[in-house]
Order: sequence, then C-alpha cells, then structure tokens
Amino acid sequence: MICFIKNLPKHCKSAAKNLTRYLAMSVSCSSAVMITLLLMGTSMVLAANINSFAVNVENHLMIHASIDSIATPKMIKEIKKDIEKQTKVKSVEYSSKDDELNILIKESGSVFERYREHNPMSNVFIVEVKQAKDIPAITKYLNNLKGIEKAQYGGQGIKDMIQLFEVIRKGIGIFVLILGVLSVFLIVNTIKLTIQMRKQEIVIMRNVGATNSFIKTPFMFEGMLIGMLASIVPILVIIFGYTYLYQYMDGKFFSSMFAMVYPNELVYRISGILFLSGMLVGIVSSFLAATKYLRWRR
Amino acid sequence: MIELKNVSKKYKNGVHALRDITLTIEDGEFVYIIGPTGSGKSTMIKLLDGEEVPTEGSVVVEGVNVGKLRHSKVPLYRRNIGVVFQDFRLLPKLTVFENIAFALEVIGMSKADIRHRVRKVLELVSLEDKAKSFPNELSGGQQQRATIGRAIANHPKVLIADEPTGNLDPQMSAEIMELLEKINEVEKTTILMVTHDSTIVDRFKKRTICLEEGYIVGDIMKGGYIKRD
Repeated sequence: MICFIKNLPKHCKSAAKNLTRYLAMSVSCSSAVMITLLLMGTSMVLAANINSFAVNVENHLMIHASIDSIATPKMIKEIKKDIEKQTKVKSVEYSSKDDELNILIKESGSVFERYREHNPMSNVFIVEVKQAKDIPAITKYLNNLKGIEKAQYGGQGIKDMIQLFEVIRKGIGIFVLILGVLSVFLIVNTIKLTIQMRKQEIVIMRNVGATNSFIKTPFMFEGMLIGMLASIVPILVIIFGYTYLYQYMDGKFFSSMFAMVYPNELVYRISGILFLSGMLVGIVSSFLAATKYLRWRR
Repeated sequence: MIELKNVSKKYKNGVHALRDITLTIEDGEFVYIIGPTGSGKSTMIKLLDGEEVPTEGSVVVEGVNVGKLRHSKVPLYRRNIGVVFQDFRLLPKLTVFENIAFALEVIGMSKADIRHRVRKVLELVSLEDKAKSFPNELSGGQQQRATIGRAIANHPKVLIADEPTGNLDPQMSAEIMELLEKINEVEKTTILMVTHDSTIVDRFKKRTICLEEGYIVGDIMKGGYIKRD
C-alpha cells in the first residue's frame, strides 16, 4: 500500500505520457466517450426540463368536489377534516357558492351577474394532492364520500399528459443508463486494443517483477484521464448551449406552463455528473480491460 | 543455489519437455545449458523464472520452491532473477537509462538510488555514452548489453540468459560473453546461459550441461561443447 502511494505520482506521469505516446488510440477512445457523454448530457437536460414541466402541470392540478346542498356547516367542517386526514392530500380549501360565482363572473364575464339572485353554484372543496398520479384515486374517494355530490378534475387529457411525462422521464433514465453501459463497452474495447499493442511492454514489466497492480494502475489512470478529457467538450456544450437556448426561448417552451429550468444550477450539476461519470467510466473500463488481459495462469 | 530434484514437465498437449531432471548449481557458478531444439532448454528456463510449474519434482532457487509459489508472489520472486532474451525485449519508447531504471522503479526504489544504480550499471555494461539513446538507435550488441544491464540492475542472485548471443555476430557475441563473465566475477551473480553457439562454449570454457529429449545427457565441469554422433 505504501509502495502504491509512493508510486502514485509516477503512475500519473506515465499515464499522461502514454496518452500522448498512443495519441491515436487516446483520441479515438476519448471521442467515443465524448459522444456518449454528450448524448447523456443532452438527455439529462431534457429529463430535467420534462420533470420541471411535469411538476409545473402537477402544481396546477386540483380536484373540485361539490358539496351536497343539504349539508350543514357542521357537516361541511367534518367532511373537510375527513379529507384532510388522507395522507395523499396536500391541502383542502373550502370555497362557498358565492365565492364560486364570483370566480365565474371574474373569469367568464358579467353575463353571469344575473345569477346573483338564484345562485346555481354549489359550495365546493378545492383539494390539492401531493402527487399527480394520486388524483384519480382521491377523486374516486371523494365521490364515494357522504356529503360530496360530485368530485372532478382536469380530465383525461391532463391525466394522459402526466402519464406521458412519466413515461418520457423513465425512458430517458433508461436511455442514460444504457449509454453509460455502452460507453463502458466502447472504452473496454479500445483499451483492450491499446493493451494488445502494449503486450510486449506488459511481458517485460512482468519479467522484471512488476506486480499486477503496478501494471494495472497506469492503465486505470490513463482511462481516468481519457474519461476526464472526453467530458470537457460535452460540459462546454451543455453550459453554453443550454444557457443560450434558455435565453433564446425566453425561459419557456412555447407556453408559460412549460417553464424551462433556470440554467445556472442545472448546467453545473449536469457538468459535475458528466465529469464524474467520464472519470468513473474510464476507470472501470480500463480496470476491466486490463484485468482481462493480465489474467495469467501457470 | 539452484536445485532441481526429479523434475519432470509434461504439457497439456502431451509433450514431455523434461524428464526426471536432478541438478544442483552452486552460488556464483557460470553454467551453459546446451542441446538441440526441443530438448527442454526453454522449459527449464520457464520453470526457473516461475512461468511454468513442474509436473513432478521440485525447483528450488535461493531457498524458494518456485513450483509451490503462490501466484501473487511470482512477481516478487522474479525480482531475484534476471532474465536476458535473445530478442532483447527493451521497451522501444524508453531510453537506455529509462529501460534500466524501469526494473528498479518496479521494486519501489527511491529516485536518487535509481539514478545512482543505473549510472553504475551503465558503466558496468559500457553504455555510459548511450544513456539517452533509444533502443532503435543502438546496435544489436549494445541492445543486448542494455538488456543485461536491466537484468542485473536490482542485484539478482541468478541471471538466466536465453541465447543472448543468438542474434549477434561472433565479435559482438564475444563482447557479450566477456560482459557476462565480468558480471559473474564482479557481482557474484550465478549465471545460467542457454546457447546453441559451439564456438562460444568451446572458447569460454564453463560447466556445461547438455539436454536431449528432456534428459540430461552430459554435465561436464571442465566445459567444452559436447558433440554426440
């Protein structure tokens, strides 16, 4: 272990040297990783924005539950308490039929003023749920609740959209994962080629008594360097590209409901992830490649 | 000391490379191993440097039972053995100095010690002026001297040379032989040299062990090439 630490600077140096020595190999390896990291970064930006769209839409999702006209104020209070007890419910607000009429007049014009005398609206609860996917279940629960006449929400369209968002989010997650695995394979193969080219070097190292870890460490540093270098271009593309796109689109995707995520924090977070995954992919794949070639039996 | 006791080696493909070899080589000895192709010379070297395990018998080098050595310990054992090959096997992208230093870096020697030792070795193999040259800038003899320098850099107790003069002309071969004799005297290294070259064996007389079809067919203390008709 002490020997390992003592040798670290030397390993780093020899890894950097080998990078330039086998430049063509390093470039092909790192461009393969670069492209995967670029795809990964773009997907992550996409996923973050879709997530933000979904959260935005979800925040606007509320259930309107009309209360039976025969319900007394005491009953209304009890029903409210019952609904609030539901763990999936975020908030319950009571809105009287006069309030509802006022909202209607405000939204749809004074033509509804004539209903002031005989208000056809009913008292309602406006129920907000914690997660969009629970809306149908809570609506069903409200519909079955005694004292509630009818509960409804935005409808099938919104439900479909939320489901679509969920599918896209999961899809992107799987895509990013597949890209990660793919890039490991890419680097494993390229490093295997490099090792093949340097087989004689390894044989000589063995002959003079180098331990396997001594032989493997420079390869791993090299893989790490390749991964780190490969992450630079994708990081720059994400930082400048997304910031530009955000400014160009004025921070929203056609409608204010689809507000884009503010670039600052997002791009730095994704850059960090790209840098680390580049490094990790480099280390893991060169370890795998080197181990495969250094396996040796007598 | 090298001790082979009833050593046999049979490869998986059925080839019987060595048969019941018993042999003792004392510290500081210079020994030739001769014999035709396929007589088991290479196998003997592989057994000595831990590349192969004997099918029967024991190979003990400097008190280490090489055949019983755990896999992870083989590299450590090899640090006591210097090996020189016919095809030199220098790292092409390193200078002569770096090639020799490489063997010392592997064992974790400090930089200052490495510099000191490499200079001494370069002097011993007469390559002081070639320290900064790359292998492809050297003649065959110089490359072989660099290889020998690398092999002896960490004071191995045993030096195994696998046809070190195989690729060289007679004059260079003689130079290499003189160098090996010098190392044998100065560093007190036990030297085991596999060779085909009858001129060398006859000129530089040493203990000569002759292998044929896996058997030892001759072991002459006074040396000289053994010809069998």
